[in-house]
Amino acid sequence: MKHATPFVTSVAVLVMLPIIAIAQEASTRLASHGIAETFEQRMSHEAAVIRATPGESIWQQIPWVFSVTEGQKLAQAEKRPIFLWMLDENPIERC
Amino acid sequence: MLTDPQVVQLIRDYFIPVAIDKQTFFGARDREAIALANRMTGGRAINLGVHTASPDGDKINTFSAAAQSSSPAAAVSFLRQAMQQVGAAPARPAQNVDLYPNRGVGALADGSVRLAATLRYVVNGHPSKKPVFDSITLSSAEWEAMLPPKTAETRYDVPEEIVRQFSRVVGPESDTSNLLLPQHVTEAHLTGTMSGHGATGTDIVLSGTISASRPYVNDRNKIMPGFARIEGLLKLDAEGHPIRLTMIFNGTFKMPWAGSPSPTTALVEWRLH
Repeated sequence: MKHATPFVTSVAVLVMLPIIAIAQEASTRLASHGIAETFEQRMSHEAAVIRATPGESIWQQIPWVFSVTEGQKLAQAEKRPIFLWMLDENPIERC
Repeated sequence: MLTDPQVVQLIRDYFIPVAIDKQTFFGARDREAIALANRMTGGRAINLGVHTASPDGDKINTFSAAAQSSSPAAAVSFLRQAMQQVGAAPARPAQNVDLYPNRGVGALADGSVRLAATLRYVVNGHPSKKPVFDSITLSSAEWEAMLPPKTAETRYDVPEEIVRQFSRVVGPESDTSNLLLPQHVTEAHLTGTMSGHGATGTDIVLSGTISASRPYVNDRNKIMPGFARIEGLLKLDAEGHPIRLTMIFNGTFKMPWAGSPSPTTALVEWRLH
Protein backbone atom coordinates (compact mmCIF):
# COMPACT_ATOMS: atom_id res chain seq x y z
CA MET A 1 0.00 0.00 0.00
CA LYS A 2 1.25 3.49 -0.90
CA HIS A 3 1.60 6.18 1.73
CA ALA A 4 1.40 9.94 1.33
CA THR A 5 4.82 11.54 0.83
CA PRO A 6 6.13 13.90 3.55
CA PHE A 7 5.64 16.82 1.10
CA VAL A 8 2.00 15.93 0.43
CA THR A 9 1.39 15.47 4.15
CA SER A 10 3.01 18.85 4.92
CA VAL A 11 0.89 20.64 2.31
CA ALA A 12 -2.22 18.89 3.60
CA VAL A 13 -1.51 19.96 7.17
CA LEU A 14 -0.91 23.57 6.10
CA VAL A 15 -4.10 23.68 4.07
CA MET A 16 -6.07 22.16 6.95
CA LEU A 17 -5.13 24.89 9.39
CA PRO A 18 -8.27 26.97 8.62
CA ILE A 19 -10.45 23.94 9.35
CA ILE A 20 -8.77 23.35 12.66
CA ALA A 21 -9.36 27.05 13.36
CA ILE A 22 -13.12 26.56 12.84
CA ALA A 23 -13.18 23.81 15.44
CA GLN A 24 -11.06 25.82 17.83
CA GLU A 25 -13.32 28.84 17.42
CA ALA A 26 -16.26 26.86 18.78
CA SER A 27 -14.14 25.58 21.68
CA THR A 28 -12.91 29.07 22.49
CA ARG A 29 -16.47 30.41 22.63
CA LEU A 30 -17.37 27.86 25.27
CA ALA A 31 -14.11 28.29 27.15
CA SER A 32 -14.70 32.03 27.36
CA HIS A 33 -17.86 31.22 29.27
CA GLY A 34 -15.93 29.00 31.66
CA ILE A 35 -17.36 25.82 30.22
CA ALA A 36 -15.05 22.94 29.35
CA GLU A 37 -16.26 21.49 26.08
CA THR A 38 -16.54 17.74 25.91
CA PHE A 39 -15.52 15.79 22.83
CA GLU A 40 -19.18 15.13 22.15
CA GLN A 41 -20.00 18.82 22.30
CA ARG A 42 -17.16 19.67 19.94
CA MET A 43 -18.32 17.03 17.46
CA SER A 44 -21.83 18.40 17.71
CA HIS A 45 -20.67 21.97 17.02
CA GLU A 46 -18.53 20.97 14.06
CA ALA A 47 -21.36 18.86 12.64
CA ALA A 48 -23.75 21.79 12.86
CA VAL A 49 -21.38 23.94 10.83
CA ILE A 50 -21.08 21.35 8.05
CA ARG A 51 -24.67 20.05 7.96
CA ALA A 52 -26.82 21.61 5.22
CA THR A 53 -29.03 24.49 6.27
CA PRO A 54 -32.75 24.35 5.43
CA GLY A 55 -32.15 26.88 2.64
CA GLU A 56 -29.39 24.82 1.07
CA SER A 57 -31.54 21.73 0.89
CA ILE A 58 -34.85 23.42 0.04
CA TRP A 59 -34.80 22.00 -3.50
CA GLN A 60 -35.24 18.58 -1.91
CA GLN A 61 -38.82 19.63 -1.07
CA ILE A 62 -39.73 19.65 -4.77
CA PRO A 63 -41.66 16.53 -5.86
CA TRP A 64 -39.27 15.68 -8.71
CA VAL A 65 -40.18 13.29 -11.49
CA PHE A 66 -37.14 11.44 -12.81
CA SER A 67 -38.39 10.69 -16.35
CA VAL A 68 -39.04 13.14 -19.20
CA THR A 69 -41.79 10.96 -20.68
CA GLU A 70 -43.50 10.55 -17.31
CA GLY A 71 -43.14 14.28 -16.70
CA GLN A 72 -44.70 15.15 -20.03
CA LYS A 73 -47.66 12.83 -19.37
CA LEU A 74 -48.26 14.57 -16.05
CA ALA A 75 -47.88 18.00 -17.66
CA GLN A 76 -50.49 17.18 -20.30
CA ALA A 77 -52.86 15.74 -17.72
CA GLU A 78 -52.53 18.76 -15.42
CA LYS A 79 -52.07 21.35 -18.22
CA ARG A 80 -48.92 22.72 -16.59
CA PRO A 81 -45.52 23.78 -17.86
CA ILE A 82 -42.56 21.49 -17.34
CA PHE A 83 -39.51 22.56 -15.33
CA LEU A 84 -36.61 20.47 -16.60
CA TRP A 85 -33.33 20.25 -14.68
CA MET A 86 -30.51 18.48 -16.53
CA LEU A 87 -27.79 17.45 -14.07
CA ASP A 88 -24.47 15.72 -14.30
CA GLU A 89 -25.31 13.53 -11.32
CA ASN A 90 -28.18 11.64 -9.80
CA PRO A 91 -30.17 14.04 -7.61
CA ILE A 92 -31.19 11.26 -5.26
CA GLU A 93 -27.65 9.94 -4.93
CA ARG A 94 -24.59 12.17 -4.97
CA CYS A 95 -25.25 15.74 -5.98
CA MET B 1 -31.67 29.29 -8.27
CA LEU B 2 -32.98 26.24 -6.41
CA THR B 3 -32.03 27.63 -3.02
CA ASP B 4 -34.47 30.54 -3.22
CA PRO B 5 -37.75 29.89 -1.33
CA GLN B 6 -39.94 31.78 -3.81
CA VAL B 7 -38.43 29.96 -6.78
CA VAL B 8 -38.88 26.58 -5.10
CA GLN B 9 -42.47 27.42 -4.15
CA LEU B 10 -43.35 28.39 -7.75
CA ILE B 11 -41.87 25.16 -9.08
CA ARG B 12 -43.68 23.08 -6.45
CA ASP B 13 -47.03 24.76 -7.05
CA TYR B 14 -47.24 25.40 -10.78
CA PHE B 15 -44.83 23.12 -12.67
CA ILE B 16 -44.22 19.48 -13.33
CA PRO B 17 -40.64 19.32 -12.04
CA VAL B 18 -38.41 16.88 -13.89
CA ALA B 19 -34.82 16.16 -12.84
CA ILE B 20 -32.63 14.15 -15.17
CA ASP B 21 -29.26 12.59 -14.42
CA LYS B 22 -27.66 13.19 -17.81
CA GLN B 23 -25.17 10.34 -17.60
CA THR B 24 -27.76 7.69 -16.77
CA PHE B 25 -30.29 9.22 -19.17
CA PHE B 26 -28.09 9.07 -22.26
CA GLY B 27 -26.61 5.76 -21.15
CA ALA B 28 -30.07 4.17 -21.29
CA ARG B 29 -30.31 5.00 -25.04
CA ASP B 30 -34.06 5.51 -24.91
CA ARG B 31 -34.52 7.22 -28.30
CA GLU B 32 -38.05 8.42 -27.60
CA ALA B 33 -37.01 10.01 -24.32
CA ILE B 34 -33.88 11.57 -25.82
CA ALA B 35 -35.91 13.05 -28.70
CA LEU B 36 -38.40 14.48 -26.20
CA ALA B 37 -35.62 15.95 -24.02
CA ASN B 38 -34.05 17.52 -27.09
CA ARG B 39 -37.40 19.08 -27.99
CA MET B 40 -37.84 20.39 -24.43
CA THR B 41 -34.38 21.95 -24.46
CA GLY B 42 -34.21 23.15 -28.06
CA GLY B 43 -31.60 20.52 -28.88
CA ARG B 44 -29.50 21.24 -25.81
CA ALA B 45 -30.31 18.21 -23.67
CA ILE B 46 -26.66 17.20 -23.74
CA ASN B 47 -25.80 20.38 -21.82
CA LEU B 48 -26.37 20.91 -18.13
CA GLY B 49 -29.02 23.47 -17.41
CA VAL B 50 -32.54 24.46 -16.55
CA HIS B 51 -35.34 24.69 -19.08
CA THR B 52 -39.08 25.22 -19.26
CA ALA B 53 -41.32 23.44 -21.74
CA SER B 54 -44.99 23.30 -22.67
CA PRO B 55 -47.22 20.37 -21.67
CA ASP B 56 -46.64 19.04 -25.20
CA GLY B 57 -42.91 19.06 -24.59
CA ASP B 58 -41.93 22.06 -26.70
CA LYS B 59 -39.21 24.31 -25.36
CA ILE B 60 -40.32 27.60 -23.84
CA ASN B 61 -37.05 28.97 -22.52
CA THR B 62 -33.63 28.16 -21.09
CA PHE B 63 -32.27 29.81 -17.98
CA SER B 64 -28.82 31.24 -18.62
CA ALA B 65 -26.02 30.16 -16.33
CA ALA B 66 -24.99 33.78 -15.82
CA ALA B 67 -28.41 34.79 -14.52
CA GLN B 68 -28.72 31.53 -12.60
CA SER B 69 -25.92 32.50 -10.26
CA SER B 70 -26.91 36.10 -9.82
CA SER B 71 -30.57 36.80 -9.26
CA PRO B 72 -33.59 35.02 -7.78
CA ALA B 73 -35.70 37.74 -9.41
CA ALA B 74 -34.46 36.63 -12.82
CA ALA B 75 -35.38 33.04 -11.95
CA VAL B 76 -38.88 34.09 -10.88
CA SER B 77 -39.31 36.03 -14.13
CA PHE B 78 -38.13 32.98 -16.09
CA LEU B 79 -40.72 30.79 -14.37
CA ARG B 80 -43.56 33.29 -14.70
CA GLN B 81 -42.93 33.56 -18.44
CA ALA B 82 -43.61 29.82 -18.82
CA MET B 83 -46.65 30.00 -16.53
CA GLN B 84 -48.16 32.82 -18.61
CA GLN B 85 -47.46 31.06 -21.88
CA VAL B 86 -49.16 27.83 -20.78
CA GLY B 87 -52.02 29.52 -18.95
CA ALA B 88 -53.32 29.60 -15.43
CA ALA B 89 -53.72 26.39 -13.49
CA PRO B 90 -54.46 26.16 -9.79
CA ALA B 91 -51.62 25.37 -7.43
CA ARG B 92 -50.88 21.67 -7.10
CA PRO B 93 -51.89 20.07 -3.81
CA ALA B 94 -49.00 20.09 -1.34
CA GLN B 95 -47.01 16.87 -1.45
CA ASN B 96 -44.75 15.41 1.17
CA VAL B 97 -41.42 14.69 -0.42
CA ASP B 98 -38.76 12.36 0.89
CA LEU B 99 -36.02 12.03 -1.70
CA TYR B 100 -33.80 10.15 0.72
CA PRO B 101 -35.73 7.55 2.68
CA ASN B 102 -33.45 5.88 5.23
CA ARG B 103 -30.59 8.29 4.57
CA GLY B 104 -28.94 8.77 7.91
CA VAL B 105 -31.75 7.16 9.93
CA GLY B 106 -32.49 3.60 10.95
CA ALA B 107 -31.73 0.40 9.10
CA LEU B 108 -33.21 -1.17 5.99
CA ALA B 109 -34.99 -4.50 6.13
CA ASP B 110 -31.77 -6.37 5.31
CA GLY B 111 -29.92 -4.67 8.18
CA SER B 112 -27.91 -2.35 5.95
CA VAL B 113 -27.66 1.36 6.79
CA ARG B 114 -27.34 4.50 4.63
CA LEU B 115 -25.10 6.98 6.38
CA ALA B 116 -25.87 10.58 5.45
CA ALA B 117 -22.95 12.60 4.14
CA THR B 118 -22.53 16.34 3.62
CA LEU B 119 -19.34 17.55 1.95
CA ARG B 120 -17.96 21.05 1.51
CA TYR B 121 -14.87 22.87 0.44
CA VAL B 122 -13.51 25.27 3.04
CA VAL B 123 -13.15 28.78 1.63
CA ASN B 124 -11.39 31.50 3.60
CA GLY B 125 -11.66 29.37 6.71
CA HIS B 126 -15.38 28.72 6.40
CA PRO B 127 -17.33 25.81 4.90
CA SER B 128 -18.51 26.79 1.40
CA LYS B 129 -22.14 27.58 0.67
CA LYS B 130 -22.44 24.77 -1.87
CA PRO B 131 -22.72 21.45 -0.05
CA VAL B 132 -22.58 18.11 -1.81
CA PHE B 133 -25.03 15.48 -0.57
CA ASP B 134 -24.20 11.79 -0.61
CA SER B 135 -24.77 8.49 1.17
CA ILE B 136 -22.49 5.70 2.28
CA THR B 137 -24.30 2.40 2.33
CA LEU B 138 -22.90 -0.27 4.63
CA SER B 139 -24.20 -3.81 4.55
CA SER B 140 -25.34 -5.40 7.77
CA ALA B 141 -21.96 -7.13 8.11
CA GLU B 142 -20.02 -3.94 7.32
CA TRP B 143 -22.06 -1.99 9.87
CA GLU B 144 -21.39 -4.69 12.44
CA ALA B 145 -17.67 -4.33 11.71
CA MET B 146 -17.78 -0.68 12.83
CA LEU B 147 -18.62 -1.90 16.33
CA PRO B 148 -16.09 -3.16 18.88
CA PRO B 149 -15.44 -6.87 18.62
CA LYS B 150 -16.47 -8.96 21.62
CA THR B 151 -12.79 -9.44 22.50
CA ALA B 152 -11.95 -5.73 22.51
CA GLU B 153 -11.11 -4.25 25.90
CA THR B 154 -10.58 -0.55 25.26
CA ARG B 155 -9.34 -0.13 21.68
CA TYR B 156 -9.94 -1.79 18.34
CA ASP B 157 -9.21 -1.17 14.69
CA VAL B 158 -12.07 -0.92 12.22
CA PRO B 159 -11.20 -3.24 9.30
CA GLU B 160 -9.51 -1.37 6.47
CA GLU B 161 -12.04 -2.53 3.87
CA ILE B 162 -14.74 -0.77 5.89
CA VAL B 163 -12.72 2.45 6.25
CA ARG B 164 -12.23 2.47 2.47
CA GLN B 165 -15.99 2.89 2.03
CA PHE B 166 -15.57 6.43 3.36
CA SER B 167 -13.47 7.50 0.36
CA ARG B 168 -16.64 9.10 -1.09
CA VAL B 169 -16.44 11.96 1.39
CA VAL B 170 -12.78 12.83 0.84
CA GLY B 171 -13.34 14.96 -2.29
CA PRO B 172 -16.32 17.35 -2.27
CA GLU B 173 -17.00 17.32 -6.02
CA SER B 174 -20.55 16.38 -7.04
CA ASP B 175 -19.56 15.04 -10.47
CA THR B 176 -19.17 11.30 -10.01
CA SER B 177 -16.34 11.22 -12.54
CA ASN B 178 -14.28 12.99 -9.85
CA LEU B 179 -15.43 10.68 -7.07
CA LEU B 180 -12.78 8.90 -5.00
CA LEU B 181 -13.84 5.26 -4.80
CA PRO B 182 -12.71 2.57 -2.34
CA GLN B 183 -10.31 1.18 -4.95
CA HIS B 184 -8.58 4.59 -5.11
CA VAL B 185 -7.69 4.51 -1.41
CA THR B 186 -3.94 4.40 -0.73
CA GLU B 187 -4.09 4.47 3.05
CA ALA B 188 -6.91 4.06 5.53
CA HIS B 189 -7.11 3.35 9.21
CA LEU B 190 -9.64 3.99 11.91
CA THR B 191 -9.33 3.16 15.59
CA GLY B 192 -12.13 3.02 18.12
CA THR B 193 -11.47 3.79 21.75
CA MET B 194 -14.20 2.82 24.18
CA SER B 195 -15.09 5.12 27.04
CA GLY B 196 -17.93 5.74 29.44
CA HIS B 197 -19.07 2.15 29.46
CA GLY B 198 -21.89 1.81 31.91
CA ALA B 199 -25.57 1.22 32.43
CA THR B 200 -26.46 3.95 29.95
CA GLY B 201 -24.22 2.69 27.17
CA THR B 202 -20.78 3.08 25.67
CA ASP B 203 -19.16 5.97 23.82
CA ILE B 204 -16.60 5.05 21.20
CA VAL B 205 -14.23 7.77 20.06
CA LEU B 206 -13.12 7.16 16.48
CA SER B 207 -9.82 8.45 15.14
CA GLY B 208 -7.99 7.85 11.90
CA THR B 209 -6.92 9.00 8.47
CA ILE B 210 -7.75 8.19 4.88
CA SER B 211 -5.82 9.04 1.69
CA ALA B 212 -6.89 8.36 -1.88
CA SER B 213 -6.07 9.48 -5.39
CA ARG B 214 -7.44 8.81 -8.84
CA PRO B 215 -6.60 9.86 -12.38
CA TYR B 216 -8.58 12.72 -13.91
CA VAL B 217 -11.14 11.40 -16.38
CA ASN B 218 -10.05 13.73 -19.21
CA ASP B 219 -6.31 13.27 -18.72
CA ARG B 220 -5.20 10.12 -16.97
CA ASN B 221 -1.72 11.55 -16.45
CA LYS B 222 -3.20 14.03 -13.99
CA ILE B 223 -3.90 12.79 -10.48
CA MET B 224 -6.54 14.01 -8.05
CA PRO B 225 -5.32 13.33 -4.50
CA GLY B 226 -7.39 13.59 -1.36
CA PHE B 227 -6.64 13.20 2.32
CA ALA B 228 -8.71 13.48 5.46
CA ARG B 229 -8.21 13.22 9.18
CA ILE B 230 -11.15 11.40 10.72
CA GLU B 231 -12.72 12.06 14.09
CA GLY B 232 -15.92 10.46 15.23
CA LEU B 233 -18.20 9.44 18.02
CA LEU B 234 -20.21 6.23 17.97
CA LYS B 235 -22.72 5.86 20.77
CA LEU B 236 -23.97 2.44 21.78
CA ASP B 237 -26.86 1.64 24.09
CA ALA B 238 -26.41 -0.50 27.21
CA GLU B 239 -26.81 -3.65 25.12
CA GLY B 240 -24.12 -2.59 22.66
CA HIS B 241 -26.44 -1.59 19.81
CA PRO B 242 -25.54 1.58 17.88
CA ILE B 243 -27.80 4.54 18.47
CA ARG B 244 -25.84 7.43 16.93
CA LEU B 245 -22.78 7.97 14.74
CA THR B 246 -21.10 11.30 13.97
CA MET B 247 -17.91 11.43 11.91
CA ILE B 248 -16.04 14.49 10.71
CA PHE B 249 -13.49 14.42 7.91
CA ASN B 250 -11.17 17.42 7.68
CA GLY B 251 -8.67 17.32 4.87
CA THR B 252 -7.72 18.39 1.38
CA PHE B 253 -8.59 17.58 -2.22
CA LYS B 254 -6.94 18.72 -5.41
CA MET B 255 -8.54 19.03 -8.81
CA PRO B 256 -6.08 18.81 -11.75
CA TRP B 257 -6.20 22.50 -12.57
CA ALA B 258 -5.80 23.71 -8.98
CA GLY B 259 -2.40 25.05 -8.04
CA SER B 260 -2.51 23.49 -4.59
CA PRO B 261 -4.81 21.21 -2.57
CA SER B 262 -8.03 22.84 -1.36
CA PRO B 263 -9.16 22.37 2.24
CA THR B 264 -12.28 20.27 2.68
CA THR B 265 -14.62 19.18 5.40
CA ALA B 266 -17.32 16.53 5.55
CA LEU B 267 -19.89 15.19 7.95
CA VAL B 268 -21.11 11.59 8.05
CA GLU B 269 -23.96 10.90 10.42
CA TRP B 270 -26.56 8.32 11.36
CA ARG B 271 -29.06 7.82 14.14
CA LEU B 272 -31.30 4.96 15.10
CA HIS B 273 -34.58 6.93 15.14
